[in-house]
Amino acid sequence: MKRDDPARIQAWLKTVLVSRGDLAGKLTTAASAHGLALAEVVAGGYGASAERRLDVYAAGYVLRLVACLQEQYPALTAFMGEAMFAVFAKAYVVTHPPDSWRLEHLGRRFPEFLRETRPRQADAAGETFYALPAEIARFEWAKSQALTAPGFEGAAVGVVPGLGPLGYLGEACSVELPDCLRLETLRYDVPTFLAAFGADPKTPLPAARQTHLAVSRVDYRLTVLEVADWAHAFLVACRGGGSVQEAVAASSQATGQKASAIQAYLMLWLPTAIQFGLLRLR
Amino acid sequence: MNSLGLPNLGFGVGLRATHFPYLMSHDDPLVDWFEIISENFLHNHGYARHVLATLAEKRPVVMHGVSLNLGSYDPLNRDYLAALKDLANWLQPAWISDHLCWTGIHGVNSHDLLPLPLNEETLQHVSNRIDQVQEALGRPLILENPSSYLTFSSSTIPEAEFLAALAGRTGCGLLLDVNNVYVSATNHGFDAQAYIQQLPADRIVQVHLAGHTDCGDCLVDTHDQPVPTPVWELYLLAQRRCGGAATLLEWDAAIPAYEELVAELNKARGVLAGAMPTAAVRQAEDALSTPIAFQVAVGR
Ligand SMILES: [Fe+2]
Repeated sequence: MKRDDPARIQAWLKTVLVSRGDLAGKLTTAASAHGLALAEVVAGGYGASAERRLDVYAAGYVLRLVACLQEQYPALTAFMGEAMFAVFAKAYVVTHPPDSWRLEHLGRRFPEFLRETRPRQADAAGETFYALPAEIARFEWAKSQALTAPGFEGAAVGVVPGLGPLGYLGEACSVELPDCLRLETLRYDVPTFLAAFGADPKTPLPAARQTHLAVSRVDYRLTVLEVADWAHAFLVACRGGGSVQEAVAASSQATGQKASAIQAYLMLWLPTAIQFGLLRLR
Repeated sequence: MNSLGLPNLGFGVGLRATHFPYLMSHDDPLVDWFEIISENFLHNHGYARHVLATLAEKRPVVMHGVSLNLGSYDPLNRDYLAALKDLANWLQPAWISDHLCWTGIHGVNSHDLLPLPLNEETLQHVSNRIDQVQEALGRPLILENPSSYLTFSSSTIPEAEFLAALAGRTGCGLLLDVNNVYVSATNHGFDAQAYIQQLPADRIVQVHLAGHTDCGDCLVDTHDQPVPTPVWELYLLAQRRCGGAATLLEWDAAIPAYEELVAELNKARGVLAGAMPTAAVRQAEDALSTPIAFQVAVGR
């Protein structure tokens, strides 16, 4: 391939952008990968140096993506502080260069990255301090998905006309979940903690408590509902598209509770689930 | 009127999520038309699309993209093109635009508008890609000049000449960003007015206005400022040359309240009526080019 081949120049510039280190380190990596030196690629002789010109792109690439992650994870940014957030966000961008034109996909692996890179702490307080960011990130990612995936807007939502409470559980009735519904099981009650933290940044860290969340949308507004074990298992089973009875049976098997008990809970809970946009009945 | 037969839509602004509350609570949007960042809506079925549907009932909308990756040596992304076409079928935009740049290669997407060497080889490459895009979309592409911070040793064709050749070979239209012309002209030492004179006036469909930041050794395209006087002067020249093209104000970081944004846009009406605004360029040690974080905001 000739030295001024445009595809080779693009590969060189891409390597400069995504490589670790300062500009000199990036240039060394790009030179060994593509056999090109800055002076032979970038024109000189006018105004700012070639290094400075390239650095507008190299530095801007990282800062621009970090700013996007801050926008995607505002509560986490507030919790960690902007400077600490930026440290992790930069490390994430360097580890996982964006592979999609969909900018909203940029932060897809950020919760997992935070979980994998957290320092291991022996005592419980330290454990919470380092584990919480990944859990907050999972919650915020679920929220951003729930806000943009297809929902029930524009369609008739609510109970099936003519069905009494017992009618919910009839064989013919099936449950439909919107694409925007996200089911998350977190190790902490993140929504409650974030609400308290927003009001008072000195709020003590929460104790571990497994929390099932259903995050969805009604009339373009986000909804967040904590759900019980049986309801979480019921919704997971509904994802498969079976009847109400089949989902009740699956929930019973998953939680060890009697199907008749779950049916009773369901009758009380369904109006709330419908109100929060978690499902509709057909 | 341009030779593509596309209308002068008047004076518009880029639609930004931070202005959704104003736009959804006021009947009059105060501007003639809107430009959207296409990518914000391609897979967004939430409130933003609802707002867009509401505004599209009232005003013309143009789709402005940042992910076509036109200059790249990766294959064109057919999924992206299909999504763009789907959105266009739904929205019926007045036209679709993107940039003379590349955004990624080998599967990496930089989310930046990267420069490419300008020579006979890349001219042929980009021409072929524009042909493919226009065939896929079933309409002419409107191509914007980017701002840039470096040029390549292998470049042999000046940018204005390159754009003119693309327009001639492919029939595409031009989106002339006069702020980008000013930024690049200053950074690379070419004559901004001569650049505008070299473009085929009948292909200029739209003009972009924005502000930038002077970092001492270079200008950075920050889209976070009022439009400075030298950019207004280029705007006037461009409008005189093409006999009136749709005007669009871009403001992407430190975005002001909606009425303030519209007041800045309305200076363009004043410029055409002979009132040249006095606004200096902001100076700063360092600045972020092409801010995009606003694109992640979903509006609720
Ligand atoms: Fe522009």
